[in-house]
Amino acid sequence: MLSSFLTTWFSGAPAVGGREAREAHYQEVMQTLGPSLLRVGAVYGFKGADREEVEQDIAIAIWEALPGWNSSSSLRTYLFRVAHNTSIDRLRRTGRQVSHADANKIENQSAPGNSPESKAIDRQALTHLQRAIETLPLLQRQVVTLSMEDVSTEEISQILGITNNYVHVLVHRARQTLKSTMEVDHEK
Amino acid sequence: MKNELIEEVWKSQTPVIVNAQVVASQSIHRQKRLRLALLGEVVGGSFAVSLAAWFVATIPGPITVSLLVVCIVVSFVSLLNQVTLNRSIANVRETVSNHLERRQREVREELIFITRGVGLWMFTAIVLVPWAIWVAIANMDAYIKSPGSLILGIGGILLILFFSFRALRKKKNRLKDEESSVSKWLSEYQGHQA
Repeated sequence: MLSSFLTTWFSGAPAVGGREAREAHYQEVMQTLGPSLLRVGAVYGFKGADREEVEQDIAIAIWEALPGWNSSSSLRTYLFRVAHNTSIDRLRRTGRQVSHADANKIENQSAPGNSPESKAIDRQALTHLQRAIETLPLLQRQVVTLSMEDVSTEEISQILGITNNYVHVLVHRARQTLKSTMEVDHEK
Repeated sequence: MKNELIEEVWKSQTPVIVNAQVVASQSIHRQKRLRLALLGEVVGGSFAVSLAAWFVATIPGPITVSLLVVCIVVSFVSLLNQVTLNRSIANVRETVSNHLERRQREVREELIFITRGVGLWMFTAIVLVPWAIWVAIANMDAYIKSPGSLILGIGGILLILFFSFRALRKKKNRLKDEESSVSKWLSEYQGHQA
């Protein structure tokens, strides 16, 4: 009995069976929510290899957290909490600061369009948007990116632990700032 | 730029979804690594402290007592790192504001502990450095004949003190930075928590 416990403990393998069912559940969840959950890494300014690593951390955290979900909150709310808290923990472990861009120093870039170069323009627009997001305070970033993922006000308040009214205020404020930052830049 | 367009740009990021089997094996690998690291900390720390305690029992004196103190402090700091890492991984399911509050509490507790560690280091250095100088002066003739033992003995003590201080200071500075970041983030939540 002791040897079986020690083997399980050191191998890190789950003590209970049903791994195939768990894998199927994970795959199903990630098909629908995966892209939104993995994009959380971008909220904290992770880029390049750091971004890939935080996405891996989020995927592992979701895998580990899935069996612990109960119906006290929606699955989406629960998993967004896991994704945000995992990104915050990664910042802590790597000793990084949340990157913060200066709104006055954002370079002039074009918005996406339907031209043949639209892919390249999309990339530029995305870089531009990411930098505009980085000019926002952390809470506004969290709120506005969740709202861009079509998460409801109620759910955002449950993910972040703030009141519904404050979510409304922050979404409005952050969207205004994003729009004006991007419009001013587009006019340059 | 319209809200819809901004959302479209944001969603144009399409992260790669890794297969469940790969994630499962990464999770097992990570848990295994964490557990082995924790076990390594416990075994290594216990061995170092036991060895130092044995030295104190067989060769009592300020040098062996100081070695024991340094071993206890370093082992405890190292173990604390592992435990807090595991603890924070286990608490990713709470609301983000609760998670940040927990982090703030943990960082403050660690800071208090590290500050005490620095105090203990200073006490050890105050005892040990004058004693090492006194030993060197008192045995100058012997050390001139055999400078290797001077370098190894006194130099070793100074090196241990230097590196342990550097590690403590680095950890303390990192915790201070983290505390100020977490406090800044939390200030945005305060007064609006559900």
